[in-house]
Amino acid sequence: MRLEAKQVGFRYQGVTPWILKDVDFVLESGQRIALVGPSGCGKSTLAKLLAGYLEPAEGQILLDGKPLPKKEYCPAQMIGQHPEQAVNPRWKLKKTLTECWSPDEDLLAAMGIEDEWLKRWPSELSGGELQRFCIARVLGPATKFLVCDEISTMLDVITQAQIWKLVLRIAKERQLGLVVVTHNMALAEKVCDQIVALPDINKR
Amino acid sequence: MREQASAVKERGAATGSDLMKEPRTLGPRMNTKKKLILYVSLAGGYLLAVMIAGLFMEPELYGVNYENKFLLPSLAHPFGTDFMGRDMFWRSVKGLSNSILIGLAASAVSSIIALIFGILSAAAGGKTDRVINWCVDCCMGLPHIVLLLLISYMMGGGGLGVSVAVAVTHWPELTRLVRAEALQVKNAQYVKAAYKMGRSPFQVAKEHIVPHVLPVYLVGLVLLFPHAIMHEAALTFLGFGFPAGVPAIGGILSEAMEHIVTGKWWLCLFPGLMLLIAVMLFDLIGDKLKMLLNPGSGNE
Repeated sequence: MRLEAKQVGFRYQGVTPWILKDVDFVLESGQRIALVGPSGCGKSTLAKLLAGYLEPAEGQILLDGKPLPKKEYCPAQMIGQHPEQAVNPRWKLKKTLTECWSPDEDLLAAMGIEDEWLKRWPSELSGGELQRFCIARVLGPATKFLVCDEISTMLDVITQAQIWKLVLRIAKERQLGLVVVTHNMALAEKVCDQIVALPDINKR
Repeated sequence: MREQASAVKERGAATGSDLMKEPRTLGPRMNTKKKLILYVSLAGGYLLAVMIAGLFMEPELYGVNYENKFLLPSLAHPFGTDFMGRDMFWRSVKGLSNSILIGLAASAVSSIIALIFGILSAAAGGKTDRVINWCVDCCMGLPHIVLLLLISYMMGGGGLGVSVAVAVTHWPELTRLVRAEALQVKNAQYVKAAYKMGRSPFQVAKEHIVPHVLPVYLVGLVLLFPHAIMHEAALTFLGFGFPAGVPAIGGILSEAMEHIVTGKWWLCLFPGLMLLIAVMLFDLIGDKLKMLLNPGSGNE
């Protein structure tokens, strides 16, 4: 499959300056691309566009030539940098984890998710622990692309290594396409097979 | 504080499957959750008992009896009697029961208005939002008691006037609360993520939005009661509410004012206390419910 941004432009309503303009970006299944650039250059915006969280003001986001589905499960899933905002504070984590599919024991063990955590509320876990849930819940079979927006920034290096190892393993097994938004060049080089500097493709 | 600390310690000590079971209690001490439930049910039970007692009371119990004028509180008449020899205890119970009924009606009507306006305002946004906010500001800008007097007077006073006045003026604060909560959850990342995971708007509303707005709404609803009851009493006290024949706490208190200079202290003390206790109990129920429904403190 192929996830593609075609001549995409984005700005917040009205006449505010363009954040993204005429951006072309292509991601094939099994490909891993790092998206780098200085703060405020639109990395997260492009990530949100690719996962369908925002609508482009110009151009299109295409999945195999078709627009992203609006109603059913979106094959391009985003993982954000604030896991505590991405889980419902009123749900026990088991419910959050199984919102769209049921991860098996092996996956949970590999992610380092302990059984006991499933019975807790999000306020009773740390950011790093919550992030594992956010990742595990979108690793369902219907996911074809993962858009990772600074997903490991809040974790200690050991956990970072664990989580990336697992994400990479699953990405390889299932031929997932990966977009990795990061400021960490070492991580980008280690994890991805291609590095794209957003300012180079953004013609704003 | 000690309770909290011990609750935290208990939670820390419980591991694995232990966590979901009843938290271990040390000796006779209850955990906060059970205590809250006990408080709420006791307070609710008392108020319900007063309401039902008033509803099914024989009018003779607080009937006129000129032989027993101005009796001091005694075993036969725990709250004494008034200038017509009416038993103040039963009159107070009946009056409070009327107040609670009005409070119930007011809370029901006001909270439904608030729910509709709040959700509409958050969901529709734009012009609808602005119009509703303007209405809220208008109502909150007017002194509440003046608005109550106007509406009650316009409706011709009496039981109907006071019920309508109290029922249709208590929605603005709750509307704001509901709107804020609905807006917050609508824009929350986990709601957007749920849509991306293919959940339907109905599922999102049922699973995410309603559970988020409901606690605030329920607590707001309960906290409306004391306001409504106090306003009903105030209106009757000022002479715009129930007619003199109907027992109502406000009316009882305004009558008692005439006799307080002659030393008939029991006429205002006991009914006043009953009103105060009822209001405080509603307040307590609201507060404790808030703690129970909040995930941050619900597990303690």
